[in-house]
Amino acid sequence: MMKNWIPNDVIIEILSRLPAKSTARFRCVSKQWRSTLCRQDFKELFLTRSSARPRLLISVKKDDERNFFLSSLSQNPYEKSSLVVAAEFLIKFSKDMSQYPYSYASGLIYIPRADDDTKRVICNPITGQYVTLPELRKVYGYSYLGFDPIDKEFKVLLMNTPYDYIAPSDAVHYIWTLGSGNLGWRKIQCPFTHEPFYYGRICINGVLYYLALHSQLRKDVIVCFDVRSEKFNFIEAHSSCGFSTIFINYKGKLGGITYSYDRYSNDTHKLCMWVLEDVEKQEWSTYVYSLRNTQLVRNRNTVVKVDWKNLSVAGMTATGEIVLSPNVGSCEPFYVLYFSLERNTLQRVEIHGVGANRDRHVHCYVEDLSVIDAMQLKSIPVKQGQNMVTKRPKPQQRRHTSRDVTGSAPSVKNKQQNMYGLSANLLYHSFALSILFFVSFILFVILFSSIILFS
Amino acid sequence: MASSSTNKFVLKSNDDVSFEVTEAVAREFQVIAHIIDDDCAKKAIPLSNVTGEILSKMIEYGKKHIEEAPVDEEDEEGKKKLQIWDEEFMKQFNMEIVFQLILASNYLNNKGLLDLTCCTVADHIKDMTPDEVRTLFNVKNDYTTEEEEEIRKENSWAFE
Repeated sequence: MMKNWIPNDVIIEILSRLPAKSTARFRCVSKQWRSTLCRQDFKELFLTRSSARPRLLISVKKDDERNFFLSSLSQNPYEKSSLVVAAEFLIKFSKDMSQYPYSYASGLIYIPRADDDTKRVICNPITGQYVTLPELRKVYGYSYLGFDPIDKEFKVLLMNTPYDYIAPSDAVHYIWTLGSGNLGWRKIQCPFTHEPFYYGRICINGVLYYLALHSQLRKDVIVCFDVRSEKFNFIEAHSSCGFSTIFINYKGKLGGITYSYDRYSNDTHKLCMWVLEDVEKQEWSTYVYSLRNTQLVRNRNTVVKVDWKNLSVAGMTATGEIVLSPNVGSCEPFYVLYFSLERNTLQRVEIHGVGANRDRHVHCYVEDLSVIDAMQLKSIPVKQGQNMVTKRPKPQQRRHTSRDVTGSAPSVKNKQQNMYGLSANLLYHSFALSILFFVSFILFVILFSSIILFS
Repeated sequence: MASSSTNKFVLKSNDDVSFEVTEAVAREFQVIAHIIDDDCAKKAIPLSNVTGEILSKMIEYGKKHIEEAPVDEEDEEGKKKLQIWDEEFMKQFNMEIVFQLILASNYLNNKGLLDLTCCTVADHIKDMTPDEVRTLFNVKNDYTTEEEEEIRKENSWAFE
């Protein structure tokens, strides 16, 4: 027990350095601790600290199921040649939810539906909480998750492509806000006709970017959707954009990496990266790296052999290092390489606890208490019986189901019960209201006629 | 004016232990740097909130960070070396001492040591239960059983 009294500002200094999970648990310590941990200025301080120590959210597809892992903060400084971190298993998505590519934005995962029988789901992989989106039948097209950092709002944009994968300017597109209650999907229009591509999509600083073919200009463009104002815009895509381009967040700017085999030079790989420096002026900076197939690269004190042709780009860190991961399925232990363009250094980081598999994606993950609370707060209306199509499993049930979202069926069932319950409620209320209205009308007629009679 | 490497100052703890340090080491602590700048450091500088035991450790930390300071931002090697030393340095203390170091580095305003000590405590408590945290920080549980159960439910994911 502490003999000394610890001032509150020192307590805040300590708490802001904890993982998000611990801060959520310590809300139970006392009322004062809870109010400290829930304050907006604490959340901002926490975000500053966690931005300085980003972690990796790793998605691995295994036997048609998708698993998510989070790398730990602890590093082993005694290992000179490479760093070793542990990965913690977070959540697993069943086969039917793993068919379509998921989107990731600011800590949440969005899973579009594969067919009419599955549901669109937004999930927080850290807490295991998830929200099922309202149904939107007979509308097909790509959908994207965006985050507005000013209002701290998550929105899903659905580009309606009624025929030939084209999103026409005269078609109705849809948008849905997390926590919008019974507003459901809202209609939205896009001023230009385009054909969104399957690949190349990212949300940075409240702008959702995706690659598309502009139908009138017949040119590849990057559609820029402002998540807050819900306005569409586009810019011409960089000339090196292609099928294998991966969109990245380069220190808050939009970037793209194309990693390809150089046809004209026998044994080299070409890594081409562009960064959109200025959206208004459409200024780009381009970096091209030629990499020999197998190369010896200095890695801190030692030299490591890197086989470039067996690597692919997995993502980017907040400090602007490209994360490369090996293609070969059997690589064990799993490792990633951090390739710093500025310093031209390469660092190998071994990640323990992740199985060996081909299909892996890595996202830079920064813990944000506002995002965790946004999901939590927006799940509350379900308890009050409002018409919000969300499902937060009860804690007791969640112990069995949360780590496996295969159980989306009960969530749908619940939702329908909820909806029927609500409509029955509404019917009942409107019936009562009409009787009340009728009675007051008769009373009013009697009163009025008696006034006329007496006068 | 003499250079900071030759200038010496005396720091005096609240239990009357005196330490002679160079100006560079003294300036590692913001509060002492202000006292020097205000020309109030002619005699020994009394530090009423710090014991001799804690002060000696803080001076050891300050000295090391002056002597082994990384050459520049790019000096990854130097940063790493200092980081390893920091970890080893913290290993020798129990929580009681760590808390005293936090209070003293907060009082004397040394950002590096405050960060290091706070990280040590955060790492120590991160897997604790609310009850263990209450005991360590001497915090009284002012929730009713129902209230605590409600907060627990709201944050149930953090208890798994």
